[in-house]
Amino acid sequence: MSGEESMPDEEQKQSEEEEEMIRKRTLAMRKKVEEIMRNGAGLVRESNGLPKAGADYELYNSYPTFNTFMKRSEQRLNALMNKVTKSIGCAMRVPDVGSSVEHYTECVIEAQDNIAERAATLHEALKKAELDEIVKVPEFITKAAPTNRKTEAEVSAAMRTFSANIGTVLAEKFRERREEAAQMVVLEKPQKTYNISSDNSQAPFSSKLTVKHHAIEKRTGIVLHDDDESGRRDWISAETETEEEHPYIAEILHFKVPEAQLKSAECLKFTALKDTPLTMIDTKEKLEALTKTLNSVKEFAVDLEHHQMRSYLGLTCLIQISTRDEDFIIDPFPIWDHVGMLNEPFANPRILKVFHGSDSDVLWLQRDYGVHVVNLFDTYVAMKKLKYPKFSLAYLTLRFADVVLDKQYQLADWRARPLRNAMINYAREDTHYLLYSYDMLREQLLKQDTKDLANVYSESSDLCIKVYKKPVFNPKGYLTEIKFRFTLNTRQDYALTHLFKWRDVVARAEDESPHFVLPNHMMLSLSETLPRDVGGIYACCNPLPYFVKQRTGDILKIIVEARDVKLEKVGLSAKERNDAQEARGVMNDTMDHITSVLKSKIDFSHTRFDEERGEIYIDKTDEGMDIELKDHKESLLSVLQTAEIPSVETMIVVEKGKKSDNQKVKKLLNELDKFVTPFECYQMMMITKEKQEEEERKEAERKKLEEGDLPKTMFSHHDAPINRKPEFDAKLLNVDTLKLVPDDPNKPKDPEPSPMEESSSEPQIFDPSRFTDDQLLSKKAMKRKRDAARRNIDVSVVLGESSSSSDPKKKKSDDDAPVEDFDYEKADSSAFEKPVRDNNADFDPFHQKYRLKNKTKKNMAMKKSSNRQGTINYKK
Amino acid sequence: MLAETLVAPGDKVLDAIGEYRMGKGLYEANRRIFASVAGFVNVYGFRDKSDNLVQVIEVRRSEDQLDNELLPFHGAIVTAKVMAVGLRFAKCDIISIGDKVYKKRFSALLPKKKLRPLEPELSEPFKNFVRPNDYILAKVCEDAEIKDKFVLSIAEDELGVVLCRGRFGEPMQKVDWNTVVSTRTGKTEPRKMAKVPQKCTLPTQSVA
Repeated sequence: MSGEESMPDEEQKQSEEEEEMIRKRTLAMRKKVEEIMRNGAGLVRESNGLPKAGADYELYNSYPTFNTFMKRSEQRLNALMNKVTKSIGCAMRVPDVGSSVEHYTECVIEAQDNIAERAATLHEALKKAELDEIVKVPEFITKAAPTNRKTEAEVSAAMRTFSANIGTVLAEKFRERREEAAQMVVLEKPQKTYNISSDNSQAPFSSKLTVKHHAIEKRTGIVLHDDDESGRRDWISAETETEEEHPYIAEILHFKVPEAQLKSAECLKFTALKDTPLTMIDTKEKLEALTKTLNSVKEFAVDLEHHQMRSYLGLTCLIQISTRDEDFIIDPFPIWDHVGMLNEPFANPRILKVFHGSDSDVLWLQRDYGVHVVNLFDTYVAMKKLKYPKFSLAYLTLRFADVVLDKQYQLADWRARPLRNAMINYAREDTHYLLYSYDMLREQLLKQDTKDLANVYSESSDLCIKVYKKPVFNPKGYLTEIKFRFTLNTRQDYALTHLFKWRDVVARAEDESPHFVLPNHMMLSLSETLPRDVGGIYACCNPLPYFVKQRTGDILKIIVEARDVKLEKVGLSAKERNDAQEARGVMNDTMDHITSVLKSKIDFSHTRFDEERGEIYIDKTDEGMDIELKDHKESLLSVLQTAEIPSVETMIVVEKGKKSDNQKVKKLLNELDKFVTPFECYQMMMITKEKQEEEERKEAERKKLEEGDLPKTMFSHHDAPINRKPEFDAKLLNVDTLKLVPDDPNKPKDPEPSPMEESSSEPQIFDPSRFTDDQLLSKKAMKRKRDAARRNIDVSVVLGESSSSSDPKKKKSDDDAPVEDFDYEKADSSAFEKPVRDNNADFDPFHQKYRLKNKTKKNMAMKKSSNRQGTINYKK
Repeated sequence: MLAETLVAPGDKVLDAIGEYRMGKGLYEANRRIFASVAGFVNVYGFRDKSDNLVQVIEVRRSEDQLDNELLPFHGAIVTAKVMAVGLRFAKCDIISIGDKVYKKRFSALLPKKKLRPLEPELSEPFKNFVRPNDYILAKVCEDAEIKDKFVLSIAEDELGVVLCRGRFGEPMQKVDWNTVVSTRTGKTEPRKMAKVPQKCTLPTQSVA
């Protein structure tokens, strides 16, 4: 039994031992991982210090030592990566030395994916074997967290959003917002309600300071050189730099950071929001009490809420102050003139004021209440010094207080009263965590460098020195304020200038911001389009600003005036001209890569050679001698001289150690020789052609010469008639046409025989039936023949005779007969006296009928002509 | 004195242009005349329309015009490859001008109306004369319509196709001046062959 009982004990012991082992192992593992993480963080930090591509890297790379070192370290890194990944069991593809960064990242990502996949598969395998409890995925070790890691608060906020149905969450948010917007409408400007006056005139700002607390006596006549280590600026120079005297300039310059603030101290954790009492300060009594509390504490955090849309200079709407254990929110509107009493703690150099991004807050305090700040710690400046990835307040609280700030109220209308709880909470949170953050920052700054904390203080006091100045109206301010999409002509410029001025005047008078009166884009569209009427003005402004509606007349007046401005051509500025020239490709005097290549030393075409001035002075005595004639051998021109054709053997280039295969080369060369280029063929052809032509010419000449020996055959009228056979048919042709047939001119005409006789005498030799007319006659002759034939036909029809041409006498008698017989007395002349009728279609004095081809036109012409006929009086 | 002087680019040729007219191979800078190419100074004269003697000064490399021209010039005999055949034009690449082969190929056009002498407009299709990938001998001529490219003409007996391949890359042999026959398939195709001795032949093995 005992043995049996002891067995579980032993097992228990064994398991305990195992657990112990595992715990030890995990501890060791955790330590290792932590070390690796730390080293990795260090690596990242170090690598950030290396010269970056695009900045210094190229410069450094031009030094060979750097270059070789980089290459060697790259090789080493590659080898290491290879080794590491191999030891894990998934070797990566290591890129070659000198590969691009993209290639490297690609490879690394691939390797990481492989590792993750391998881990996943292993885990899966263990799960299948039901051994997964052995392998515990270690917890996430916080220390070397990536910068984008979400904190618990952030995660929970995200979870809240995403756990629920997104649609309902969004709808809820929308509803909330709408309700808020309805609540936050400010019915009356607080400036009016609480009778807060502001000086919107052009006059310089005068300080509202009534009582100067914590003033030190200014010793005049003594020049102080402050040479302490904080590197603060010179007394004199700082004093001369500020035009308008800062009331606390001496105090700020003399300010020495209290020793306690420069020492490391315990970080006092903030109390939870719900455990912290919140006091709303809206009466003078409460304010006095606050002043007392603030005077008693060592440090407090401050933030302001500001509104500037509905006020020319801007309006501080809320002051939040947090001490170590209390939160205060000052509603300054009812106690506007009394807030100035806060100057006492604010100007106290022994009390530390913690701001975040105080550059404008300090000025607003000065402007509205005459409160000046001495002894300031700006967390923003500190964050810059510590080189944080972000510099926002949200990041600061997230980092140190682990609280996610909902920044949705940042741009809310803080003039709305009563303040809603959400907004109060938001305002409170702005300062609540600031003191703790300050503690943490201080410790970190001290850790980083002893000087850094002092530097932060000195930079913060530089912010305190700033003096509030009223914005000065710049009549041409729109040129810098607005980006133009188009160039203004004179009219548009006039309109824009005057609208800009009008906007400023109205804004000052009504205590509104210029943007509220007329936003930039509306002003631009108005001056661009220059609308003619009120409707056009309204069309340019959507939504219609209140003051535009109220004072449309003013705007219309400006625009009408602008329309009357003469349009002038505005000369281009030098830069624009340069740009235009460049666009046209005109070369400027500036040298760049391309122009330096294009510009030749002997090319003067781009230089400013003045034609008016004439030639550049040249020593006339040397004229003609400024070209030195060189020997051909000396100058490079010997290249032009045809070199001797080297022999084939010398031209053969062979690899070292190998013998030149002359025969092969010769064979190749022969083959190459055999190939004839087309042009050579052409040349050969041309040569042969020329030869042929030459031969032909010679042949012709020879023939000529041969013929020249024989007596020339000349024909004259005295020559004996050559008996040529006429080649025409006499039956078809008339005598007159025959004469005009252009026959061979050399052919002598034989006058004696008539064609009829010829044909009749020798019919056997020439048979005209064998030939057609076309073959025998020329074209002209053919035509004549045809004409004649037609005429003959006509005659025969009219006169009833076979042929008239052979009988001219009869024709003549036909012509003569009617002339003699006509008796004019008897003839009826009445026909001539009457105007010619329309039916006489043949009458067409201007030959309209023939000119016009179109029938309709012809008809029209006929009508016209008939009209004309109607008007012509034939009587006289 | 001036003529036949060897000059290099940038050498001053004259102090002023004077009565001469600027020819090729010269440029003016600061009113002086410099050589822009290496060669010999040459002066030649011709009579213009109003019968005035014009003296032209130029720098040339040799007497032969072919050697002086750097671009295809009017009247030059060129070897070109037909790249594509359209309805009215054939696109060609000039491979060599005369005997000179340039690194760059000049693109040129062979209009349809310059295919055959004395026939301004042809109804025959282009493929009866040249086809893509044919090598032709052509003459550079001027055309009023086409200004951005060189215009070729094969309207001479000695001009036309010198080398051509069939469908399978096999060389085609000349049958007569208007026909070629494939060495592989025996198919005949119409071409306008140049009347030149067929000395340049393609290698017998087909090229893919």
